[in-house]
This record gives sequence, C-alpha cells and structure tokens, in this order.
Amino acid sequence: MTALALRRPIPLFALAAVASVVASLCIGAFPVGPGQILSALGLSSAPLDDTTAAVLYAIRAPRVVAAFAVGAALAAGGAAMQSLFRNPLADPGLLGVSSGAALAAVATIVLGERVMHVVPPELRPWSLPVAAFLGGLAATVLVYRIAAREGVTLVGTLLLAGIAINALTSAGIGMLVFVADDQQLRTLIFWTMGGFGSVTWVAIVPALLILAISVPTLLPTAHLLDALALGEREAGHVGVDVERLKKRLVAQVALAVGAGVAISGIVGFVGLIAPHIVRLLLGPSHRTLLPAAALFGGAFLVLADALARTMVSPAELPIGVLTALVGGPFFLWLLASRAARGGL
Amino acid sequence: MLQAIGIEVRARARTLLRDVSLEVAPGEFVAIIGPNGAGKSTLLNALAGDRPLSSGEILLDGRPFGQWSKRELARRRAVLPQHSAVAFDFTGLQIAMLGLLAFRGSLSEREMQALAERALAETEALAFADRPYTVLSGGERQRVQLARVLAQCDADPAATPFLLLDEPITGLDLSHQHAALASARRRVDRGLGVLAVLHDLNMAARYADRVGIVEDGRVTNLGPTRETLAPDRLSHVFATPIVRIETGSGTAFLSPG
Repeated sequence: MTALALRRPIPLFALAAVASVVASLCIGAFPVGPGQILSALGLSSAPLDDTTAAVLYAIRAPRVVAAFAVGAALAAGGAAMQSLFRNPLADPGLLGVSSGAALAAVATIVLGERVMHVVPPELRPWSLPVAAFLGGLAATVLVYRIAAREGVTLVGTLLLAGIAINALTSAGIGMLVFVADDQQLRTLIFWTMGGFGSVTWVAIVPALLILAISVPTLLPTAHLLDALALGEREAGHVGVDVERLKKRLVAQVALAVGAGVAISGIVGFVGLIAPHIVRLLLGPSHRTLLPAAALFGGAFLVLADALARTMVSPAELPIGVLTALVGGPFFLWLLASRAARGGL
Repeated sequence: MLQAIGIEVRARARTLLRDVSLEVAPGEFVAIIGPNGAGKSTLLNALAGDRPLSSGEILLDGRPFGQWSKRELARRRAVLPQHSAVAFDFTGLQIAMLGLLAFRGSLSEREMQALAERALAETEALAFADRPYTVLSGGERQRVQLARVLAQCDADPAATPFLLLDEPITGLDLSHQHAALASARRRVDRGLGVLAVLHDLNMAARYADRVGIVEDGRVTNLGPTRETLAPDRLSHVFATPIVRIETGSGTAFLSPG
C-alpha cells in the first residue's frame, strides 16, 4: 500500500469535484449545456432562457450543493472519527451517529409540532439541524464511552456498540412511525432512506451554514490527528492536549454528520469509502487526507445523486440504496482484508 | 531537574508505588532496574505525567506537572514507551517528524525534516523513512520510535530536556542495543537528563551514572552505579545468584553464577 507520488493532489481533487458538479448540473430530464452554466454564473454573456434559469437556480443547484456538502461532511467526519478511534472501520453510519441524528430529527418532525409554537418563526428552520446535531452527539459520546478504554479502542466492541445503537434508533423511529400522521409519514420515509429529492434553498441554508463552519475547521487539527495515530498517551508526549482534542472532534463530527443528516437523511458508507480510497492514493497524513477526502466524498455523492435521479426517471432511486450498493461490498472487502492481516 | 517527591500510585485497591522519591538531574543518566511487576514502568509513567498520583508530587524545573501545558512539556521532555502500535500506514519519516509537533511554528518544514532524518540516520533507520511503519519488524519499529524521541530532544539545540526511556533496547540486536544507549549517553554528556528502565544489568553498568532498584512498588536502593550493582545485593533482589566477573581490562560483567 504505497502512496502514489502525487506532488500536488488537492488541486487535482478540486478539479474532479468541479467537473462532477458541472456534469450533475447538466444531467437530468431537462438537459442543460455546460455553456448555459457559465451564463448562469455570469461568466458568459450568452443569454439564458427563463426555464433553464429556473431549473438551474431553483431545482438543480440546491440539490447539487446539498449533495456536495453532505458528501464532504460525511467523508471528513468519517476521517476524523477514524483518527479518534485509530481504526479505518469507524464510520458515522456504522457506529450509529447518523441514525442517532436521524432519530432526533424524526422525533422533531413527529413530536416537534407540540413545542414548536414556543420557537420564534425565524429560528424554526434551525430546529432540525440542531436536533440532529444533539442526536448525533449523544450517539458519538455513547459509542466512545463504550468502546474506548484508557485511550485504546476495542474494535469488536466498537462495531457491536454501533449495531446496538442502530437497532435502538430504528426501534425508536419505528415507534414514531406508528404515531405519525400521513403527511409526517411521507417525510419519515425520506429520512430513513436518505435523498436530496425535496431539497430547497430555504430548507438547507441553516445546515449548510453549520457545515461551512464545522468541516473546514477540522483542517487546522490535521497534525494533531496524525499524532493520535501514535496512541493517545504518545500524542500527549509530543504536545497534544488529547482530552481537549477528543472533545473537539466528537463535537465537530456530531455537527458535520448531524447537519448532513438534517439535509439528506441517512446516507451510508461515504464516511468509510472516501477516506479509505484517499489513504490508498495519498497516504494517511491528515493534511492531505482531510481536504482530499472531503472533495472526493462531495464529488461521489453529487454523482450518486445524478445517477439516483436519472436511472429510473421520472421516478427516483433513494440515494442511500445506491451508496449501500457500493459501500456494502466495499465494507465486506475491508473486513476480509483486515481479518486476513491478523486483526480488525 | 525532574523530581518525584514521595509519590504514591494506586490502581483500584492495589498500591503500585508507595512513597517513592527520585530525581534526575541535567547531565545525568539514571537506570531503573528490578524484577518484573515491581513497578518500574509505573514509575516511569508517573514521571512522564501519565499516572494520577494518590499522594506526593512530580516537579519539572521546580514546577508541578499540572502547571505545564502539554506543548511546554513536550519541549522539556520526551518519552519512549514500551510498546508502540501506530494506526494507519504512516512512514518512518512521518513518525519521526511527529516528535517535533510541539516545535511547529518555530521550525520550518524543511528544518523539521532535516532533524527527523538526522535522528533516523543515528538509529540506522533512514532506510525506513519512506516505508510504512506497519510493515516494519519489531526492532525496526523500535528504532523509528527512538528516532522520534531523539529528534524531539534535539529540536532546540540550546535546551537540555529530559528523556524517559521504557525498556528502550528490548527487541533490538546487540549492536543496536549499544547504539541506542550510546545515543542517550551522548545527549547526557551534552547536558540532558535520562531515565531508562533496563533489564540488562550490564547495560545499566556500562551507561548509567546512577542506578535505582525498584522492588514491590518501592525504590529500595538508589546510588552510584557500581555500588548499587553489588553482586550480593542483586542476588537478593532477583533471587538468583549473581557474580561479578572482572575481565582484566578494567571492565566487569555481571552474570548468573
């Protein structure tokens, strides 16, 4: 597993991400040319007709932006979690962070109406991402408490704790489904399957703001995350305030994953696949891993969403189904190859 | 000066260390020896600031550990632990450079790489600079980790930090055992203070200025190397007859008799 000798990988990943965004803006039931996207951005003087403008601004752009932001958040959050647990199998979906966030979001949808009248109207769009953050935070803290003993992560315990949390949250969501009315039910199904079908600018702006803060601010911790690979005690010896770093990571992962879940519901495996592939290509140093995985995860989800909405058009595949189709076998391969190397 | 003053360390109901006082001065090599499970590593961990004390205190330059930030501490002392598993495929050079984390900002990337490479060359681990740590053998890993702490000690040439080594030569072949302790010794001669947990009595005899014997959670003997390593005392401590054999050229070695 040697790292490719790519001298300047980040611009390359950024270029690929831009290409995926442009492609996804063009693809769909109403075809749009790349030139029209330049016009929409004001980079070309060619006129843009009203229909194309409406499709781009109101329908595709929020969807593509949301998919990119969620993919980047899940990938960077996954990389941070893997550093925290010192294990590449840690993933927000597998460990129940996403489903903890989803349970809290679903509870807000079903039960929130009773308390929502005390919340000022201008703050109501924030209720979902904030609830999802708190749910994700609770799940992250719980799984860390169970699986980490004096800085050593017990991987078996870690994955089993994830299974238990996922089982508990689906029981919780099941109960909420039972008491939900028809309209709520429609929204709930979207949460558990994941998708960008109902994305609008108004609905996603609060979560996008949270992501714009919680994901890029992981970057300054890159060297500290590298040091964590030595072990928690050893990281302390080279100057890392490990307790503070851990608290910060748990909060940032919960914010990133929670805000992501608030936008799209549960989308699995991005946090597992993106960091792993980037590590294979560029090595484990977080200074390249974090930005490259975020760009990769964003591009991956943008393309997956483009597939999801065009493959069975005019119907839509749930995107969580697509990522699981890729991620499930990938996870099995990862498990098998690690078991063959003598341990998880 | 690195001082332990009357420290006691407990784990649940067991007392691992009781009333231990010990100091390491700049320019001094102190070796800690003793039977398995006597508390040697616990003592080293306590001096590294990793074990909560139930009584007593640890002072570095006269200041209690609690008053030091992690970063300040990392610039004043380095620690080589016994076992070091590294997660993910970091290379030897990346591991060695992590020793310089606390000097980020005062050293350039180029200076840090030069320091790390010099340390890797000193432990004959430069060949592992671009290899993933996870594929190295036990002894090779140990030399990379040693390079990491040596780089940490050398980052500020004007400073004389303390270096704590927990069984630094276990798993190394004979020539690398001597090379590792000679590296520590050279830094002692430059003014650093070294505390090393050692199992090899002859290595302790050869490199240490003072030796402390830990038995059942206490420092029972502490003094100049030759006096402390008296054969009759060692025979008692290790419950095995030990004799000193003079080689005639001014050196001697200790051996089960």
